[in-house]
Amino acid sequence: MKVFGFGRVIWQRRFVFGGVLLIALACSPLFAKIARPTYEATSELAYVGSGSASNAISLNNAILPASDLPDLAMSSEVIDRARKLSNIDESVDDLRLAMSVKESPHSNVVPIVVRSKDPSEALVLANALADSTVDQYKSLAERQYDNLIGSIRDQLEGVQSQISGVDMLLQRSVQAHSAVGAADALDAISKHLDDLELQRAAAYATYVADSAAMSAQGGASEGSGLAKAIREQILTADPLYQSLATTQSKDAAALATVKAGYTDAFPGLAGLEEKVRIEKTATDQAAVTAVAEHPGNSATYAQLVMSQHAAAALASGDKARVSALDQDIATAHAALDDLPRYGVTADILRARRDSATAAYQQLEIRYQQTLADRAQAGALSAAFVLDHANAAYPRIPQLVLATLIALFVLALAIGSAYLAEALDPRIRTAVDVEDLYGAPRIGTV
Amino acid sequence: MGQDIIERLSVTRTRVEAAASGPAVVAVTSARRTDGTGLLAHGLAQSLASVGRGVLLVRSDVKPASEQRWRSIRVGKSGEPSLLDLVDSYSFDAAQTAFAEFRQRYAFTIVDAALPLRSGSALSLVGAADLVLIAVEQGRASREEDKELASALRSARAKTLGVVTIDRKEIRRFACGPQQTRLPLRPGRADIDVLFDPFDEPIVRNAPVGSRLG
Repeated sequence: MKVFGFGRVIWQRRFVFGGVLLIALACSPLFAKIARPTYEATSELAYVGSGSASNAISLNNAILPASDLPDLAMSSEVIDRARKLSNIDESVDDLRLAMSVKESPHSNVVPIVVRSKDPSEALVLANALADSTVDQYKSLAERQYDNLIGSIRDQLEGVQSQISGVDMLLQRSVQAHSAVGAADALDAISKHLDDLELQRAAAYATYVADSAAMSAQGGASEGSGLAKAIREQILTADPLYQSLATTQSKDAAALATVKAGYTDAFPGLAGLEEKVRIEKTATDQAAVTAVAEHPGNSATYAQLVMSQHAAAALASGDKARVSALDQDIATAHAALDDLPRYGVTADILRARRDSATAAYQQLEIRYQQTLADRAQAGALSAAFVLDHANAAYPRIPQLVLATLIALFVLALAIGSAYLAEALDPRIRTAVDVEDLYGAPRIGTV
Repeated sequence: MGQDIIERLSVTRTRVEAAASGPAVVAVTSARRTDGTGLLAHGLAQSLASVGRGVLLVRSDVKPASEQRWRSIRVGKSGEPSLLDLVDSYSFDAAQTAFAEFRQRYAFTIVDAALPLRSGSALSLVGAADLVLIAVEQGRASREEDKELASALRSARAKTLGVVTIDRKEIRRFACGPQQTRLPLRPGRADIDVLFDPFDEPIVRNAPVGSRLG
């Protein structure tokens, strides 16, 4: 029915159809000249990696995914480089329109197809594009490693700075509270406190002993034997006393002589006795005075005094040491009391430092690995030219082209007939009438 | 040529007779004035009369610059019934009333109701008719106008029997005179408008009113 309708239209518009067909056939040589064959040259890129091109290139853990390879080949930078390599004057945009990069999901091969009216130009440009794409890929891969290395280096510096800051805070904490700064702060403070307690006990014992010795020396000076010796030493060393004692002894000797030769009636006896008595009183007074005012004249006394002073100094020193130890003990107790507060801070700082140190070590490992990867990537690229184009072929064979032109002419004629039919507002067939009214044709007059 | 058109009209007449179960009013309409409704109406009436049917032909006219008017109505020798009421009212009810009277008297009433797109009364006649024939001048008729007519017929719920395609040559021949078409009609004018003149003679020749039904 449709075939019949097609034939009907062509028959009704046979003049339009025939006219257009003749004109188109007359112009077909012109069409053939205009439709000059386009040549295609194909070079092939390949990339190393598993799976399809949409997967990332696995070699060296490369960062640039293989799916970017077509886009890379179509980039202005690559096309411009290829343009310069092949000495072509066309613009980058024109060249981009003349090329195509096909990506297959099941192949690692990426063909680069260049179309041109000039076969040699297509050939040269296809190869230049392949080389430029590989070079650009390698450059980008290394550049990406450089960026990564710079990033890791920055991170290393940041972590190092963080460690330094934590160390500074920890150092300040230790300086402020030496005990709490230590890792085993509680044990250290407890041990230190025990030591102080022991030292204090020893110091206090020494102090008690030295105090006792000092008291003992003070009592010894009060003894009769030592006091008599000291008195004799003082009197012996006192010239006034010695002079008086000598005079008194001489007069006492003279008195004794008088008394031995004379009776009590001797007139000079009483006077002599009075003299001796007065001299004796003066001598005793001089002795008292000498003992009281010149104790230094006794070496024993001096030694005794020195010993007493030494004992007192020793006792004072012991007491001061005990006091100092008491103060240290109080300080240690205070540190023990502060331990929960400063200790937690120090622990946090230490934990932070340990964490930063671990991060630093990991970054350092990654840094070294990236350096190695970059060196390897520079030596071996994941993308390479699999096959250079060695010829350019017509995109459409001549026979196909002629057939297409003939079909075009025919289609033009048929289209013209249908166009004339569509533009004709008149009702020409019974079918049109029936379609319009939805009723059958029941007669013709 | 004359014999051919009579034969072709007899085909149309046969379809009309087959579609009508009793006395029927058949409206002949078209989208354009020149599509040949007059030819088809007269030809069909003539063909029906030739086989002994009692036939009444009602003709209408529409002039674009004036209101629609019934120009000529003549029924039977006595001129009954008068359609003055219908002429005045242009209504569907009036058309139905008149058609009911026609059915009482004639086996077939052929109404030439051209240009229903421009005439409300013509559309009323078409809507009130028992059967509607559409005259289309093949090769000349406009798709757009016929689309509008088809739409108007659907909206008027007209009972369309079918389409009769009219050859332009036959229209011209009919318009030039009955002697060329062998149709016993005397339009009186060379132009198609002359068909609107009153008839001097009734269409029904062989069937007196009321006695030749069927």
